[in-house]
Amino acid sequence: MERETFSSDVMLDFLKEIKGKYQTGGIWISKRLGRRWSFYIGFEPELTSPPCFLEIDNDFALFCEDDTLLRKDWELIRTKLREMLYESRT
Amino acid sequence: MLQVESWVKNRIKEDEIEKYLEDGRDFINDEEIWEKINRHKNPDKNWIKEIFDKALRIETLTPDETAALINVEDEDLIEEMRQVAHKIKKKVYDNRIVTFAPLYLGDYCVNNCLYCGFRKDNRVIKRKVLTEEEIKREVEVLAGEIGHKRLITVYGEHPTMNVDYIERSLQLIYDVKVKVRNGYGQIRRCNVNAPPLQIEELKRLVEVGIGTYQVFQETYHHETYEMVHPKETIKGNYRWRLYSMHRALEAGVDDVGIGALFGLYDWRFEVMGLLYHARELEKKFGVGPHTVSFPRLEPAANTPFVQETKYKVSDKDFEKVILVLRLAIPYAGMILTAREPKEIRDKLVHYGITQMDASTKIGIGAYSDRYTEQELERQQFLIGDTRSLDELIRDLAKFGYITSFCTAGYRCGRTGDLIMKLLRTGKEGQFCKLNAVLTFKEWLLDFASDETRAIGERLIEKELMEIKEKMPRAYDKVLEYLKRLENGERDLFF
Repeated sequence: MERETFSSDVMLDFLKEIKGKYQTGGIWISKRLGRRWSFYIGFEPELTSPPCFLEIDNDFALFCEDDTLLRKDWELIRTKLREMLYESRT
Repeated sequence: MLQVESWVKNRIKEDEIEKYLEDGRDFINDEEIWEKINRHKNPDKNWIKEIFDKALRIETLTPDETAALINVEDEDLIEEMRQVAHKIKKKVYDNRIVTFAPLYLGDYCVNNCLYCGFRKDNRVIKRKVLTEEEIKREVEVLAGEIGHKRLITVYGEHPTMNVDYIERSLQLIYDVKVKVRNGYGQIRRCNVNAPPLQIEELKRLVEVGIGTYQVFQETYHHETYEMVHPKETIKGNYRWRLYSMHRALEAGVDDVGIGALFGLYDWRFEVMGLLYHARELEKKFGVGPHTVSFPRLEPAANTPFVQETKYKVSDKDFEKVILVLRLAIPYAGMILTAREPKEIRDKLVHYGITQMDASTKIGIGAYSDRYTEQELERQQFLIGDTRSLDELIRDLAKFGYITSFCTAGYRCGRTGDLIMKLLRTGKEGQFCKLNAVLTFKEWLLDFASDETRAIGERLIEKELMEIKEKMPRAYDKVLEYLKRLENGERDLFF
């Protein structure tokens, strides 16, 4: 009945940590569905800024409102997000 | 012929109905609905005011509360309901109206619904399904000449318009890109009004990029449903249709649209049916309907049922349908189509309407044929408002409404659970305003007549003042984006 989901509290906690540490404003992960992105997990926008796009892999992307500080650590964060996304799937 | 018969035989998957039933029952209990409507006659005035407050908090109403609103007869309270409806709309969606156009892909149908001009036994209809080339030509007019960014594609229930056809047509529509005055025209969001589909079929549409998936129940009243939809047809299965949205949400479609055809049965019951449907989706999936539609029965070729129905909805009752729905499901988009005449649309747009169509043609291939007269033999029904998109936008601007072509939510995943949260808190309205200004500007640059452009630019100035005051952080970015649009960039969004 419920839609399949791979989200977890651990991932939400991690996004919350990133949000605070890098002052990203709203931050959320979306899943690619054909030509569009579908909300997957995360926190709502709060700054009313154009969304920044950071690709996690072919299927997922991280969107946030301010990626200025986040970009310098992006490779590390991306690796961790990938692990979380796919670990929770199995 | 045999092919059609075997296709029909394999359409309904019983297990994709039964899995959603509770104790073998569906979620529409006819007796319970009537009991509530009858119990809340002459509702207490103070209770009604409490219900107004609840709706203003963007909370879905209960069936009892909705039944009470249906029974409000006091003129002062109805006037207050109008104001509440307007405030809800403003809070959730701000002063924007989204526009779209319907695109009918074909008029073949295996069903035989008594009220429908396209029913299979109706011999006066000229049958046609658009070819790939014809689809492209239609979209070139819609996106390249009129300036639509959003379509609702409409398919009949027939093997010539099976899921392969739907999938292919969506791909074709999205691929059309037309050079226009200053930029390019393209359809950015394709909503789909199609017959009930199976879960695996819906997953394919998700992959290709479906917007909202609409299936209207037509009537929620079981007995009436059975009477107007012959039993031996696919559409004769009430529950297959009723659970279309469940299957869609399970398949990963983010946005679903529900609706009823007003005039088949008592309007009060249908309003309650829509509410029960919304609450059921909220309960099972945590997401209610993205849109609610409430078309009224319109004349169709060789279809006497329409003239004979005893449930025709008067203009006065129709206004109440809209008011009650606006309050009962306050987060949902509400679609008022060109079935209704201009006068009705101009009046009711203030009470919570969020989406309207324009430059509407519902004949198969009618946009590229450029025929101006309505021809019942190639249309499902007659339309009432024939205004062009340019005229509608101008008229809305005179009322202070900004026309939005925004499809930003899908570019960044502000969809599903997230958008529900943003809608309920009124936050989505802010994004809507910013994106409405940007997409409106795009349209003015690329398609507007001089008169509409002048009115539109004045409206943008007004909107910018509001943005500066209420969203100062976003103001500079909006100005930058507007400049970039003037320099030929397109599709900038918040």
